[in-house]
This record gives sequence, C-alpha cells and structure tokens, in this order.
Amino acid sequence: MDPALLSLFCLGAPLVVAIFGAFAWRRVPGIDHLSIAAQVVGTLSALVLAVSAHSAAGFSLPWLSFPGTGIALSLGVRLDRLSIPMLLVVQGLSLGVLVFSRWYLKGDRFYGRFFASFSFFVFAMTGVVLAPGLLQAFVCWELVGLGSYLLIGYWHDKPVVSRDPQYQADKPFFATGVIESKLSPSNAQFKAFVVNRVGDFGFLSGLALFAWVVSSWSGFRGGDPLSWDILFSAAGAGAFYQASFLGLSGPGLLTLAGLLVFLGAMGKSAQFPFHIWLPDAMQGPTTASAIIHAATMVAAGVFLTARIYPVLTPDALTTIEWVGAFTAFFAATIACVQWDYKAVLAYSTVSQLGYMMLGLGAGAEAGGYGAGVGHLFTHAIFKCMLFLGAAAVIHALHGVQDLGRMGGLARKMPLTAIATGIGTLAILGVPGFSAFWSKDTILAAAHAKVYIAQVAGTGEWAARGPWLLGMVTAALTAFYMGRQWLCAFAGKPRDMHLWEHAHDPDKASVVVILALAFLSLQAVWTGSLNPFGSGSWLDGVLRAPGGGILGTVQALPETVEHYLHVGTMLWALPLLIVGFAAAVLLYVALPNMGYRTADWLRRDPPTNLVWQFLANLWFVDRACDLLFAEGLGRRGGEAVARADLGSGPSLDGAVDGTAGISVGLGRLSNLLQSGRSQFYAGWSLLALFGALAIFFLGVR
Amino acid sequence: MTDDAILSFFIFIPLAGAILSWVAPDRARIQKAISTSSATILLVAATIFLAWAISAHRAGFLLRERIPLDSEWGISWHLGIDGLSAALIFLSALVQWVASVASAPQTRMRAYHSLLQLLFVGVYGSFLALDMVFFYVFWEIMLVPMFLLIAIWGGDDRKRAAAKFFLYTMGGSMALLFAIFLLRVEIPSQGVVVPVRSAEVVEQMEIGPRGEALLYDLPVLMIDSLGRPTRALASDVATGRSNHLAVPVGRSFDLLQWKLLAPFWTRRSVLGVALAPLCLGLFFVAFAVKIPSFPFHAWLPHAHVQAPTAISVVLAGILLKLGVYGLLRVAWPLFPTAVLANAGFFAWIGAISIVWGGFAALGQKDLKRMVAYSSISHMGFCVLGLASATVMGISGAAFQSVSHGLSASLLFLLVGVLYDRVHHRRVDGFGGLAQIMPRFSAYFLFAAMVGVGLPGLSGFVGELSSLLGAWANAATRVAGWVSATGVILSAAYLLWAVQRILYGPVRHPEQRVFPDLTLTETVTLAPLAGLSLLLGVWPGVLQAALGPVSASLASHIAWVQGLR
Amino acid sequence: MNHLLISTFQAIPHSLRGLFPEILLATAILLGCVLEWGTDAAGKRLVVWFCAISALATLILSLVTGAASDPRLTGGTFTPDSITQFVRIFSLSGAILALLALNGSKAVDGREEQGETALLILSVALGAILFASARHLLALYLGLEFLSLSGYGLAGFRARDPGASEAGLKYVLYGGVASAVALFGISHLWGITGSFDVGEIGMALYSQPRAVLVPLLLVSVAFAFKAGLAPFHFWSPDVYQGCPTVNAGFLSTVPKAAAFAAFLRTMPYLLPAHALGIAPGAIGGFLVIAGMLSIAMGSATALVQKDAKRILAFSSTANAGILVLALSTWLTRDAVAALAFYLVAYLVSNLGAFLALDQLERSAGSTALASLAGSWKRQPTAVVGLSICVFSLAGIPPLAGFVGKWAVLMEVVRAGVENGEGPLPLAGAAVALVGSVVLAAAYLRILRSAVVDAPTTDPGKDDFRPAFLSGIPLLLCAIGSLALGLCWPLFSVFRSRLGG
Repeated sequence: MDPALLSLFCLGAPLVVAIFGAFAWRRVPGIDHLSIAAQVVGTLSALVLAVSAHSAAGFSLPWLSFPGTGIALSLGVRLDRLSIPMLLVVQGLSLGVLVFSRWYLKGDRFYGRFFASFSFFVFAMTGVVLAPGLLQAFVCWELVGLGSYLLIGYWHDKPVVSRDPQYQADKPFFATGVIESKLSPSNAQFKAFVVNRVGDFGFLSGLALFAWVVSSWSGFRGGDPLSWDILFSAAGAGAFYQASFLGLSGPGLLTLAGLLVFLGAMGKSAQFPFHIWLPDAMQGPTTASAIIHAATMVAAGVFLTARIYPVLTPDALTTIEWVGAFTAFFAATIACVQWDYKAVLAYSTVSQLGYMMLGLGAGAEAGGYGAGVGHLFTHAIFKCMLFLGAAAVIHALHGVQDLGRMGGLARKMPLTAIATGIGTLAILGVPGFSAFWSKDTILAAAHAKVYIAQVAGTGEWAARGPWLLGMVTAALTAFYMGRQWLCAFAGKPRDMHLWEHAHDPDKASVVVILALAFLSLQAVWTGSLNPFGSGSWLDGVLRAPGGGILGTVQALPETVEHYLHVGTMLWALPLLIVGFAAAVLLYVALPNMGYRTADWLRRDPPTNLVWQFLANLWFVDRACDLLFAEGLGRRGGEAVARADLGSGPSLDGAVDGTAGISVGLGRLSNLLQSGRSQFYAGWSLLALFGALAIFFLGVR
Repeated sequence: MTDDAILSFFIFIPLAGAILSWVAPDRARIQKAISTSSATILLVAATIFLAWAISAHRAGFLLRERIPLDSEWGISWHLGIDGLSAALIFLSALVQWVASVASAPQTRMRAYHSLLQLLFVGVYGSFLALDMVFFYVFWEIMLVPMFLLIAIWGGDDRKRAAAKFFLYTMGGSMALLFAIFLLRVEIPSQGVVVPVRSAEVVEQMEIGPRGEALLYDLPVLMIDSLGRPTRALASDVATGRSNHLAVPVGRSFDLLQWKLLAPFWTRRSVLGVALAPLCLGLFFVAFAVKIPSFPFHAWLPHAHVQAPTAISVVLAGILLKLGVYGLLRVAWPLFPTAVLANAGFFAWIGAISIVWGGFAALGQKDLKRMVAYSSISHMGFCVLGLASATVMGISGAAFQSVSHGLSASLLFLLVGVLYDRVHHRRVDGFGGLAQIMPRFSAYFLFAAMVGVGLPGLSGFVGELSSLLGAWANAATRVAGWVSATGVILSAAYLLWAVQRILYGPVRHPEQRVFPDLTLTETVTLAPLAGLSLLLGVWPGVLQAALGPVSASLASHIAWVQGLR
Repeated sequence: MNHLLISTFQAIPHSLRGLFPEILLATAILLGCVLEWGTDAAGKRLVVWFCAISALATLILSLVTGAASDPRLTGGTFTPDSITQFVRIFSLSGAILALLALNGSKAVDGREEQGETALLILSVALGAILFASARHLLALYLGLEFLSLSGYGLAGFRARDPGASEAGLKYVLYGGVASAVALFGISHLWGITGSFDVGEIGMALYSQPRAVLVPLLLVSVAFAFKAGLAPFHFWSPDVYQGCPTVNAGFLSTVPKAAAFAAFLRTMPYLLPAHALGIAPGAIGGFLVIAGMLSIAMGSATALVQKDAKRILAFSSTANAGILVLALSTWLTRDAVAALAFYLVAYLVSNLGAFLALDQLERSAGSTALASLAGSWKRQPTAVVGLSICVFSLAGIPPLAGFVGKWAVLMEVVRAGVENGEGPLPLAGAAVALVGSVVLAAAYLRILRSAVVDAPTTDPGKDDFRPAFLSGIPLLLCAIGSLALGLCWPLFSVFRSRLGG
C-alpha cells in the first residue's frame, strides 16, 4: 500500500473520532473505546510505515491558489526519516495515554469530552508532523494550539485556585510564585493560547517573509513557495540575495526569516520567556499534560526547528543555542524549589526542551541535529511516562500534589515507583538509560562546537557559554529529579492518612507505564547493551539533512568525536553524582537525623534569598503579568478605548466637535433673528453697503 | 452582453417585497413570511449566480444589462455581475435571509420589514451597478432605511446613533459626489481614445453584429505602426494579431468606460492639482467611512451597539463590505498610479485600524461594542490587502470581506441571543455559561475562533492572503508586518471575552434557568457557521470566483503603471 | 349686440394675444372679489373652488397659447417667452395645490377669510407671472409690488391673530425697504442709460460697466428679498412661522420661482459683459459668494431651530443659495434646465412638506418639534408624505431634490473646471455639499420628532373632518417628488423647452 495513503489513517482515524465526539460526547458512552480503536489503527499504520518506508514519499494538493502569480499554497503529506519516527512516537504515546486515561478519568463529569478533544489534538499534531511545507505546519500548529486550549480548559468550570477550597486544602505547604488569584483552568487555557499566539506572530511573519522571497525569486517556477523542497532549494540557490528588507539581504535576511519562524517554535516549546504558559497548563488533566505538555506538542517547536534546519544560518543557530541553554538552566533552577509534584515535572520539561534547542543550535557539523532530535524522541517517552506516574500518584492521593505530604509511597505503589525510578534515572542521564545516550550527545555537540570554534579561532566564548550552562544544568537536573523521587517514594510517609489509601493503578495502566519504562532503557535506542558504545541503529534518522544552505555536512573525524564524547562524560557523570548526592543528603539523610532541612533552606540566610528568588520563578511570571496582561492588555486596552470613545477628549468627541462647529455657527447667526424687523433691515443694508464697498475696492 | 433584465430582478424583488410588506396587514407572522420568502428567492438566485461564477472561473462579467437613459449626461441603467459581485451578492442574500428570520420587532412590523427590504434594494443595487449615477443612487438609498431601522427599533441611545450613522455616511457620500462631478466634467466633449490592455479585451470582449470586437459596448480599434486606427475584428483580437488596441471613450458616467480612462485620468489635473490623487482621496474618504477605517470609524460603535440584533448583523455583514467593494470596483481600477504611489499610506491606514481596533476591543466592557471594534480591526486587513495591489492582497481583501461577513454576523447573533435572555451586554455580567448553555457556548467559541483567524476557518484565509500580499509589495511590507500583531490582539480580546463569559464557575445563579439556543436561533447560526467552516477548509471554492477578478485588477494596475 | 361683441373682439390688439392667460387670471380675481363679497360664510368655500377652477382654466389656456416668440409684444414691456411660460405653469400649479389644500386646512377652514385667502393666492400667482415676464424695469417694479402686496395680505390677513398680523407687518416693513432700494436702483439706471429696457441696459454695460453695475446690484436686492437670499432672508422665518402653514408653503415657493425667473431673464443681458472681461468675474463672483453665504447661514441656522416651519424657512434660504450658484455659471442649456428643474423639485418637496405639516398641525396643535412627537401614530399617511418630501429636500435619491442638486452642482463644477472660472465655483460646490449634510441634520430633527419619537401625550382625538379631496395636494406633491426623481427623461424635457 502506498505509504502516503497509509499515513492518512494516522490523520483520518482521530479526526473522525473528534468530529463524532464533538457532537455526541454527552450522549454516546463508548467514545473512549472508539478513540482507542482509532489510535490503534493510527499506531499500526505508523509502525508499518516505520518498518516499510525507506525513501521519502508524500503528496500535496493545492489548497489556495492565486491566478497570475503561479503561487498555489498546498496541503498534503510528507514522509521522510524525520517525520516517520516522530509519527510513530506521537501515535504510540497517544495510544498509551488514552488507555491510561480510561482509568485516570473514570467517572469524571466531562469524561467523553476528554477523548474527543484528545483525538482532535492527535489529528492536529499528526498534521504538523506530516506537513509537506511551512503552510501546513502553521495550519496544524494552530489547530494543535486549539487542542491544547480545549484540554487545558478541560475542567473549565473550576474557579481560580485562590477561591478553590480543594486547592487551598491540598496546596504545597509553601507554594510560591504562582499568582493564585489568576490560576484556573480557563485562565490557563487563555494564557497558553495568547502566549503561543505571540510566538505565532513571529511564525506567520516568517512564513510571509519566506513566501515573498521565494515567490519573487528568479528561479521560482510556480507551485507552493512554502513547500520544503522549493523553499530549501530557493534558499540554497541564493534567493535571499535577490531580496532585501530593512537593509537586510542574503544571510542577514535569511537569519531574520529563520529566527521569526523560531519565535513560533519558542512559543510552543516554552522557551524563555515564553515558558510562562506551560506551568499554568498543568491545570489540565495530568494525562493530557503527559502527551501535550511533555511528550509531543511542546516538542513540536523542536521538531519545526529541525524541519527548517536547512535554512538556519550559523547566526540563527547560535541564537537558538543560547536560548536553549539559558532556558535549560533557568527552568532547572526553578524546578529545584518546587514542591508541587507536577510543577517539578513541568519545569523539568521546559529545561529538557532547552536542552534539545541547545543541541540543535550546536550546528550540524558538531552533530547537534542528531543530538537534538534524538533527545526529542527519548525525552518524549520517559517524560510521558513520568507524567503518567505523576497521574498515578495524584490519583492515589486523591488529588494531593504536594511532595511535602508524600514519602514512602514505594511500598504502597511499587510498580509506579519502579517505573518512575527508571524514568528518573533516564532523565538524569545515568549510563544504561536512554538520556545518557541522548543528553550526553547534546553536551558533546555543544562541546564540539567549542572545539570547532577553537579550530576556527572565532567565537569560542559564544560557544563555551551554552556548554557550561548545559553542564551545570546536568547537575541541577540530577538534584531536582532525585529530590522529587526521594520525597515521593523513599523515606517515611509524612501523611499517614493519605499513605494508607495509596495504591497502584489498574493493570492496563500499569502495563502502559512499564512499557514506557522499558523504552527508557538505553539499549532500546542504541541497540547494544554496552552503554559506552558509540553509534546507534537510529544513526540513519539522526544524520543531519542536506540541502538548503547546508549543502552536504561533513561530520567531525571519528577520533575527535570520540574524544569529545568521553570528555563530556568525564565531566557530566561527576556533576550528576554531586547533584544526586545533594538531593539524598538534604531530603533523606538529614531529615532522617531530624533536621527540617527544607525549612531552614527557605528560612535562614543566605539560602533564603536564593530560595525566594527561585521560588518566585525569577519574578519573570509576575513581570510578564504586570507588563503585558495588566499593563499592555488591560490598561492599554482601556486607554485606547477611552481615547476612541471616552467621556474625556476622544476621537469620537473630536468628530462631535466638528459637528458642533456648525451648531455654534447656527446659534451665532440665530442671534440675528431677534424678531425685530428694523434690525433685519439694518443688517441687510449693512451687508449691501459692505458689498458695494468690496465692489468699489475690488473691481479696478 | 445581454439586454434581458435578469439582474434587475435583484433590485425589483426586494422592492416588490417592500411594497408588499407595506400594504400587508401589520402582523408579525405575515410580515416575517413576506420578507423571509423574498430573501429566500434572492438567496436561491444568488446561489445560482455564485455557482456560475465559480464554474466559469474567469475575470469577465458573466452578465451585463445596459439601457441608455440620458444620452446628453451619458447615464444608463447598467448592471453587471462578475465573480466578485456574485460572491458579495450571495453573502448579502444569506445575511438578508438570516436577518429576516432573526428579526422580531415589537412594534410597527409593517414599517420594519418593508424598510429592511428597501435597504437591500440599495445593497444589491450597489453591488450590481456599473454606472456611477446609479452606484451613487443605490449607495444613498441605503441610508434612509438604515437610519429609520436604527432610530425606531434600536436601543436606548438609538436616535443619536442613527443620526451619527446617517450624517457620517452622507458626509462621505458628498466626497464621492464631488469626485464623480470632477471626473465627469473632465472628459472632453469629443471624447478620448485610450489604449487598452489586450488581456482585458480578451477577457471582456463582445462580438458585434459584423464580427467586430466590442469592449463594454465600445468599438475596439487597432493602432497600426503609423498610428492609424482601424476597427478590430473579434478574430484579430482572438488571434492576438494586434497588441496595440485602443478604445474611443465618450462622455458618460459608465464605470467600465471610466476604468478604460485610467491612463487618461493619470494625466489630468484640475486647478493645478493632479486629478487622480485628488479623486482617489475623495473616493477613499467615502468608502473608508463605510469600511470603516481608522479615522472615520467613530459612527460604528454607536450604530452597532444601538441597532437591533438583526440590523447589527446587516450592518456588519453587508454594509461594511460595500466600502471594500467600492474601493475594489471604483477607486482602485480608476487610479492605479495614485494607488501605487500611496500604497504605503493606505497600508498604514489598514495597519492602524487593525491595531487600534484591536486594543479598543480589548478595553470594552460591553460585549456588543467589543464585537463592533473587532469589526474595525478585521476590516483593516481588507484595506491592507488592497493597498498592496497584488493578487494575493486583493483576493485576500475580498475573501476577508466575505469571511468577516460570516463571523461578525455570527458574533452579533450570539450577542443578541444573550441580550434576549438578560437584556444587558456587560461582559462581567456573565460567567460559566458553558455549563448552562452548552450549544450556545460551542457556537460562541466557534465564532470567536473564526474571528481569531484559526486555520481551517474562513477568517484565516483572508488574513493570510492579505498578509502575503502586503509582504509581497515593498511599500506595504512593514505595515504588513505590524498588522500581523492583529493575530495576537484578536486572540486576546475574543478569547478573553470567551473565557469570562463561558468559563469559570457560574457567576450569576439566576442565569441557570437560561434555555439553550432555540430552533430559530440555531437555524440562523448554523448556515453561517457551516459556511465559514467550508470556506476555511476549502477556500478554493470561493477563490475560484474571486481569484480571476483580483488577478485581472492587479494586472490592470500594473499595466497602467507601466504606461507611464 | 352681437355685432358689438364681435367688433370688440376684433378690436383687441393682436399684441395682447400673448397675454390672454394673465388677462383671464385678472378677470377671475375681479369676479372672485365680487363673489366673495356677495356670499355668506358658508359660500366662501365656493369662492375657493371658483379660484381653483379659474387657476386651472388659466393653466390650460396658457398651455394652449404657449410661449410667444416675438419679444416685442406689448411694446416690449412683457415678454411671454419660455421663461414666462415656465413661471405661469409653475405658479398656477402651485396655486392650484395650495387652493386645494386650503380646503382641507384647519387653519382657515370655516373662517371668514378663506375666500380672501384664495383670492390673494391667485393674485400672488398673477404678480409672480408679471414680475417674471417683465422686460421693462417699471413693469418689473409693478410686478414686484403686485407680488409683494398680495403676499403681505396672504401673510397677515388674519387680523384677529396677533402672530399673523405681526408676520404681515414684518413682511411689509422689510419688503418696503427692499422695494425702496430697488426703486432707487431703477431710477439710477434710468439716469445713467435713459432707458428702462433691460436689453439696452445690458448694452450700456459695455460702455460704462462700473457705473451700471452698482445700480444693478441695488435692483438685485429686490430679487434677493423675494428669493429669500442671505442676507435678505431675515423676514422669512418669522413670516412663515406666523402665517397659516399652507400660505407659508405657497409663499416659500412661488415668489422664489418668480424671482429666479426674473434673474434668469436679466442675466443673459448682463453676462456678456462678464464674458467680454468687463468687470471680470464681478457678477459671477458676487453671485457665488451670495450663494455660499446663503447656504452657510441657512443650513447652520436651520440646525438650531425648534419649530419645523422655521427649519423649512432657513432651508429655503439655503436652497436659494444653491440656485444662485446655478445662476453664477454660464447659463448653458443644462444650467438653465437644471435651475428650472431644481425649482420644480423644490416646489413639490417644499410645498409638500408644508402641506404635510399643515395636516399634522391639526392634531399636534402647532409645528413645534416637541409637539410633533408621535405624529406617526396619529396621522401615519401624512407622516409618510412628510418623510418623502423632506428626504427629497435633503437630496436623498431617488427623489426629486436629488436630481435637482445633481444637475445644478454638476453645472457649477463644470463652470469651475471646464469654463476655467477657477476655484470660486468649486468652492461654491464644496460649500453646497457640506451645507447639504448640515441641512440634512436639520431635516432629521423634523423626521425624528414626527417619525421616530413616541407621542408625549396620548394621541389627541383628531375631530377635524377635512373637506373632500383635501389630502390630494399632499399626495400629488409626494408623487411628484418621487416621480421627478425616478424619471430621468423628464429632465431632457426641461432641457429642450428652456435651453434657449
């Protein structure tokens, strides 16, 4: 069967469920089975594609054409070594999460709607993955946004948490940073959409810029200027030297275009400062977060960046690398002080996405492309599993998410503990687990970029910075993830009552978790049991794409690469151990000796200053809220509204004023209408004499 | 092309309906039956024409009828329909149908329904007229019924709003009238021979009795190398034997002949002022008031808020589109050089409208007024696209007109649904309606998403094309970039309203008794929603009607510019 | 006996034949007086009918005799040419409409005076015709006085009504001043040129332009007064408000037409001077400025009035301004036709508006905007008529006023652009366009109270039983304002008949 047609199952099956569910979720009970069935279909087709399709395939149909210009924007399917694995990840994880959700959301008041919205999201996400060009990428990008909007606002009837007794009862014993008066599912969905839209403004502008440059390129022979092939070949053939904008031309213009599109990626992938929407998005059901805000949607930004890799200039890549590195570090520091189980995962997600960007930004020669994309896959798996674990824990504790009231859960829910443990080790990057392979490749790539810079003798420090940040982040990651697992599962139970009732999820869900846990083993990815062995059966997928301005990429010599890998490892492993040890010391050893470490950490100087800073999320959220939501949005809106149509001086008032002029004139001349005819005659004669005077003076 | 008066029916059916409503008894049932049935007839006819336009897929006029009335003034009853007018007439018919179904006047039904149909006499007339006199006549005819409809059946502050609408629009019309006079008297009595674009001749050519080529009922001349004109035969034009074609244009108010005069206008000046920019400015004022664009929009918030629901729907759905249509049909074809010279200015007008309207909408407490300002913001994309004078931009402007006609109508209907239930429109007066009126909420979210410009819904296509067009023209590029912030603003104000009205806990328990959408409300909402979904998923179907016209206009502009 | 009659008939000078309509009208008026004197209160209505019928007869007769070609008839004092013919038809049909309306008007119904009113209306019509057809300055003055005096009567004949008598008095005083100025100008002209003939005076312009132009200016004051041009319009609001509504409607239309006809007759003799560059632009310029002034003052002042009749009074000033703009152009065929068409459109719309107000006045008690509120509930048909006529005045298509405005302003713009008279006409056109928006705002205030506003008091019982056919004139006016707007060919009739 034609692979392109086969891939339509992955698109169509969820879409059908979504459409059906949109109308019938209230009345029809079986919608969950239906969506799972659709997902099975999708997953199987993806599997078949993964094993069968070896060469790029696809088709595209004209969607909107402009006669006389040759431009025909098109939609379709594009199957290649990037989209097929991503497709498999999306479909497979969705299937798992759906199965898990049946248990997690059983008996919920909106039960059916979850599966409908979820299927819609899967459809949209598949659309992004299969996009044959920038246009469909954007179209489905927005639809993904809608899916996320619907799922974040799944419990749209909840009040803001400051008014929610449940939350007030269970909130982390010192939750700071979140603006409680504004945090609610509906606010969160709104915030997520609008923040993403800011990024999409960039995406759309970049799209328009690409469309203009390519369609005005002398080599443009009609078709869709935004399709990957035409776009890359145009960029490769120097179309950007033929255009100029704001004094930019050639590489400068291309950098601008690439970064504009990357702005969209920053929005979806929650890169600093767009990360603010992601923690709020945890208001949605945890299983939804597992797929959308951990595994796939937030990775769409990384995916897009990998997609447009052939048109990303070195400058653009350096910017991307820095953004990623800083985001990774920034989010990791915040994660270290979170006491909300999901919040820790949320910030760790942001941090890991930063890692991926860091990897991609390292550049193709440094092997960054493969590193970023590889981490995208592995992270998708274990982060999804960690979230499902979180779902299990939260469900077991009746909605309590406070690490401070957990502890010792390993005895009550061993399987969850094991799976989550594997996930934690994976994200730490312990040898033998998936992220050891992928994350170290990223750090190695960053390192390689430093090396390349040294060889070239330029921009060494610009390259060294991200590498250092990445290293530090590795330690931080070890600390906060270790801390989370230890607080939740190890040690003595802090809240006996909650602890009593804790239990593992049902069989199907456990199978899902364990399956994902298994996929988090390094061997699955590298294909060899030797954790330090180089190479992987995914190398084919991870090879940087040619074309565009990349041409053909030559990787570094084998020896250099090996040296870099080992060097990175020798750096990373000790850091990792230090971080984890600190976690054990602070949250297991000392508390067991009776120290309330957590308390003095936040009470006594100097740590409390750091603590306050981090716990307030570097004050970024508050600043954004103050500047944009309150300032630009509310105040700005009101100001313009007043200026347009206010009681004070306003545009409308100005118009009335001009109308008032004629009324004033009328009043004035109405004064002449005194009703006394002698005056009338007088004025008329006056005017007459005036006319005569003018006449005599005027007509010479 | 043809003398049988098919198109006139678009004008005479609503007229007959108006008269019928006037003489019929003053009962809601009968009145609604009359106006709905006349609207239905028109809707069927309009659908047929649109289908024809889509299948024909060419820039020329599908049908023209021309009856000379006054030879000395050069006035003729000249109507024509092409892809653009077909699309807009279809939209008008749909909106008329929705309006007549949705409207439920409490008093004076007779007057209400006959005025409603009289209003549409003007609407169809303006979309069909190809003679400036009748264009102006129909343009003005719309004022009186709209004034009365707002002033009699409107809200508390209705009289002021109605007067404001009337005077604003009339002021604009005066500029239009002045420009028309100037242009008419500029044509020398002996007429002018102007070169014509051979592509246009091919598109629009008609064949005379002896096989000679006619363009808009004028003989086509071939200019040979020595500049000697000879009558061109249709065969010559078809075979493209001569590409130096010209047409003798005499004194008239005929719009198509004025379009042929475009190269002539660019050369003229009155009292030392270049004619083309002057008249373009006058036209733009007249049409910008209707659109409405940034400095000329002050009437809209009043009129929209005060008008009864059905009338707001007509206002936003159709009357605003007339401004864009005027620019597309009258201003742009007549003065291409002036348009290109001032493209940046027009683009910035559009950009400012988008941003200003967006922020103003963000600051509204009254839901209906928020929707009104969103109209200003969305129509800004039309001006932006037109300013670029590219195929993408022009077709985007046309597409955006249709799409906004759908989305704005949806939003106003939905606001009306709420108003019928609580008799206020304060955004903070609602909350958690999603739990009370799920179907209403679904429609509201849908309409908001159309406004937000979510891909897959019609709103996206217009905005995308306009932006692509704006980026494709160096003069409008930066303005286009600024306009793209509209996607942030629209998401902000629309979804903020959605979230405050639909979501969160129920803020006013007494609203728990609200019934969900009634059958009538669903009947009015469903077609609009369905259509905007169809156009969003498959824009090609409408583009087939709009594209060729836009392409022809764009190449006309480029050609005239090239002549200089 | 028979012989005697025949011989008298033959004895009538051939030259008088052109004046048969006027003679018939005069005779009818005299007979009417006798009739009025002889009948009791009940019979007064007969007089009205008599007047209406005789006006109709005169109209028919004038249509039969038609315009005489030879201007030298009656020793060149009166020229029954196409312009005169126009004024005949105009003022006689105006008179007929007014007389019919008089029947149904509460203002005069059942009163002693309705007979007198009818006779005065006839004599105003006669005066208008004489004034418009005069070519000899003294004849012109006689016509003017005839017109004015009967106008005074019409305004203030109701001795017992203080408002009416005040109106009459003002009219008299103001008219007196105007005609004095005019007479001064005439004597001055005679002193300079030694002639009363407009043609010879026109010739004299070539020889000594400035000496002649000044007294001409003085004479034109009389025209301006009759036409209600600013700044000679101050009388009109008070007079219209004071006198019965029907009379006001009649006074606001027919004398205006006569004045402009007189203008139209004299202009061709004066314009050549203008054309030959003697006193360059003086006349045209003066006219444009006067027009702009009238438009500005009229429309702006109308905006702040509280009485519908006063609004219409000021609007009549503004309309006069637009007509003057038409005069200022080179009276091409189209310009003359446009002027005439505008006058007719103005007749039907304005008279119609007044007649509608007259009907509304019955139940509303007065024409104050406040008291008109809710008229749509009390007298729906009359309100429809009012709206049509007022929208026509506002120049909304497809109504008569629109075509008139279109025709006139296009000629003005043409004068500016094509005849190269420079910016002044264009400025005039611009002012006219802006003014028409302002004026529209004023009209909207009438409609707002009559059509939109809810009745402030409960609908007063309309106990008045209008006489037979009393609604007809309003109907005719409304139909007229609609028909003149819809039928373009009508304009070409004007073009062919008046484009001399």
